[in-house]
Amino acid sequence: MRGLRLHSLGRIAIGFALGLSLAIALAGVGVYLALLDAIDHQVDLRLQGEARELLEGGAGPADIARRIARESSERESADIGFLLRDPRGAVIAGNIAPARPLPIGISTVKGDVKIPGLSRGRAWVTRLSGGGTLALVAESEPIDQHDHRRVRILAIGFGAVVALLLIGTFALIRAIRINIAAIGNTAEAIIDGDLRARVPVERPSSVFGGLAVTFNRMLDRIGELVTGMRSISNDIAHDLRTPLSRLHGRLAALASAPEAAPVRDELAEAVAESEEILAIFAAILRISEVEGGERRAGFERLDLAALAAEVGEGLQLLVTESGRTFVPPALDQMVRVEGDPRLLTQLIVNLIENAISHTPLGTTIRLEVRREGQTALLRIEDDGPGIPAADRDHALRRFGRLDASRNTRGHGLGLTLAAAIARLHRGTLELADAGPGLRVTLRLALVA
Amino acid sequence: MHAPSDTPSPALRVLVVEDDAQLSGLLVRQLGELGYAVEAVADGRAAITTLGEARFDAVLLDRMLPAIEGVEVLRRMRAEGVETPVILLTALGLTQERVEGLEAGADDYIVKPFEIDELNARIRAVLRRRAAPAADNATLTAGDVTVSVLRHRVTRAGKPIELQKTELKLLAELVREAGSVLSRKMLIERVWGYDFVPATNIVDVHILKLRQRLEMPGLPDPIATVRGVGYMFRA
Repeated sequence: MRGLRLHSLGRIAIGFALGLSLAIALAGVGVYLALLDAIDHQVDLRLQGEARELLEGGAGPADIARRIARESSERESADIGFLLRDPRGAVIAGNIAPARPLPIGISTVKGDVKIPGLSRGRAWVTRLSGGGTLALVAESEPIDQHDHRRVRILAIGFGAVVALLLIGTFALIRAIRINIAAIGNTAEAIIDGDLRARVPVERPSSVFGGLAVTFNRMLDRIGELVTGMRSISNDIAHDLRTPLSRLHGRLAALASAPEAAPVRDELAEAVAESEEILAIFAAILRISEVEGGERRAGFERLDLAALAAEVGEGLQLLVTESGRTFVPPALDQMVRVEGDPRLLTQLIVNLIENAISHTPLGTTIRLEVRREGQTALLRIEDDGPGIPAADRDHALRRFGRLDASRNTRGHGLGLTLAAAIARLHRGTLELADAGPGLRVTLRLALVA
Repeated sequence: MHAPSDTPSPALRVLVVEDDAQLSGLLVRQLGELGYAVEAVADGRAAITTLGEARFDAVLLDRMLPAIEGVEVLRRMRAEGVETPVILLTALGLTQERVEGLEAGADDYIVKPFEIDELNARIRAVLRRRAAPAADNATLTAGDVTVSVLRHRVTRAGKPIELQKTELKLLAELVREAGSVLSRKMLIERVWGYDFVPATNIVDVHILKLRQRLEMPGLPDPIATVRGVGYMFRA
């Protein structure tokens, strides 16, 4: 989700930068063309004015030649090239010698006419009444090597604009990314169970600040609701446990009284029943404690392989005496994880007890810990009847006892608690087919 | 049948601090039957006053009290130098509570509901620990059984006995506290290190095995079952 958001953000930025660059380039070309056009027009007007002066009063070729000589020496018209030819094309007067004939009327001339000092200009050629031609040529470049310089100026300016644009866009993306990340991190922390996590707010008046404030207010509200719910369930558990404790105490006292001898077995059953109810409360409270996430504060670095080996050793006799075979984990490598050793112990005990109570005699129960890439893997596997694929999700839910096991002991919270412990460790608990049997796999991140 | 033999004489004085009148009444009566001299108060302030006026051998302190909560009472007691052993009583049994209680200076921690024999066993254990702190781990002896934890060696009547690691830890606990009752919950905490009660009868299975291993012709069973509570190694 986040990847997609940033991806499209980047695409918008790149599109924006490209579009703006294209617009700037088009505008530059347009300005350049308009400038040339305006200069040409000015030069044309000047050439026509000069021509009118030369031809004033129906001057003959001799007059024109004289006037050309005068104009060429005057400062304001010294940059104009003149060329007067007779009807046969021979030069009568002038100060230029174009390499090719210039057409009648107005035209643009370039370096190919080989007029020294001219790289771009305008020519105005008119046919005289006597049959000769008069050509006037003037530069239309505002400065020397105009195009070259102009391209350089454009390139530098354009580059600077694009650079600014890129810097600005990336700064903007970064700001958006940081703000989104702040909200994302807070959401992750909430998912992890830290309901007190909030988005840091620097300026409440800014767009992101305002969003963060709203987000935080929403979290406050959710927090109130969850805390309310938790304290209700804790209150219920507490309020029920106290009278149940008393009931249990009285029953136990009664069961050991000498006068209770005739019904002692019945009383012992009742004591066991009340113990079972209290065990359910203990499990519910433990699950809500684990789901609260506070126990992460007590996480430590531990070797999951060593822990599993020790827990397995404590359970070995229990499994074998129950008429099943136990295969303890091989202790051949360190599998370092961050976690709560007591809870991970409880997870293993729950899963093995679960395997004992839901498999027939003669089943083999295998406990295994190993590394798989960057993951620590703890696996408890049996070759019993297993759980059908369709029921596996249900088995992990609270009180998710399967019909097949309704009549066995236990409260059906063992797997739920194991799943909650896995989540507390930011890991996963997966039920799979061991073909035959049930394979429960806990995956945690390895630490160095 | 209650925990046998070690009825206190002269009577050990216990202060019960519990706001639930029914539970408090039940505790006073049951502890009285076990031979303790019991006094009860219903809140933290009264507890602090009472502890200032008289000496007690042990305090049973409810964690949830009106006015001043249990852990705070405990902190104030310890701050004033009152070193009386304290067992916290709690309804929830959350790990965080347990850690907080022990850090505040509690000697033990018992989750409601508990049976009076379980409580009795814990009071005994706390008093014993205070009287003879940290018995040397190297070699433990009771009757004709010797356990060397460090060297992983066990003998009965001079003959070596092979034990698995968990069996040895269990035997060491029993021998160390020979003559006293250890409840199943206490054994679960000390031998297996669990802070929860497993659904299976793991303690009984191991005791059974231990009895088989220690069995010798002509010699009595050294482990006594205390009905409804746990086990005791015969001193």
